[in-house]
Amino acid sequence: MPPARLSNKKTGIIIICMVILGGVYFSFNPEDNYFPPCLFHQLTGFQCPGCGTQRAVHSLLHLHVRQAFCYNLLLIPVLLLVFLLIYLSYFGGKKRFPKLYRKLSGTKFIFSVLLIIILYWVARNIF
Amino acid sequence: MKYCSNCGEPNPDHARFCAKCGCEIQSGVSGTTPSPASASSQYTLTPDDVMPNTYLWQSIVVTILCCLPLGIPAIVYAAQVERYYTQGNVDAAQRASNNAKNFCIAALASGLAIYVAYIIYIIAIGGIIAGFAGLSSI
Repeated sequence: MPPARLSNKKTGIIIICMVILGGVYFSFNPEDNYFPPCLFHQLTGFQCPGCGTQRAVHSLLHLHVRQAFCYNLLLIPVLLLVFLLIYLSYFGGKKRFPKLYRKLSGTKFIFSVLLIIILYWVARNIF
Repeated sequence: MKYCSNCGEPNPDHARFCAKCGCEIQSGVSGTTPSPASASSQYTLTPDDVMPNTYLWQSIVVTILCCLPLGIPAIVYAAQVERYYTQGNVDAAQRASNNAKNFCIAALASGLAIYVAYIIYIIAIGGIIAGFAGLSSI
């Protein structure tokens, strides 16, 4: 199924972009610099499930894990899930753990992820 | 010319999915005439190889990072892929997969556009302020 394998060129471009972005988010604190704000937050005043991700990335790059959780509760679990899915999809995990891959691609699992995101969205605007 | 392992439809050599049924075309059957007996069993034997991509991680990333309502439909379509696929509706599963992909691309594109527009805006404002500072110092 597409894309079964990333080409070396694509992987290289992705890694270079990640390093540049990582450098930017390591050196500058989104708290007191001109970083793009969340459009949803600007328009409605409510927080979206992604609000605080930039500050959380900055904290995480400085290894302030608890601070990262405070800015955005979802960032670290989402990163772990995304790394796992990338391993499964592109680095042979699909063949090694077919049951796990099938489960994580399942309708139930994906709807649970959606439910968690929506619950977090609602909860962070109430509490 | 190669033949679809699911329905036997002839497809061009570069095709990865059958134009008729949407199944992934197994590379092993290239150039051979399809045999209906193996064609029907192959689909049930290796379900993991044929199920369309769900684009789950891409959908989650655009929902969290791009901060846009376009990420939510991408996750909903991603979720439908497996359900349609287990029902045997490979067509619908492939369509859901394509929709998930398109919503991911749309979310990513609009997120990037906003990001770039904001950076240009900040640079422009910075330029105007610097211009005024330059004027007042004269």
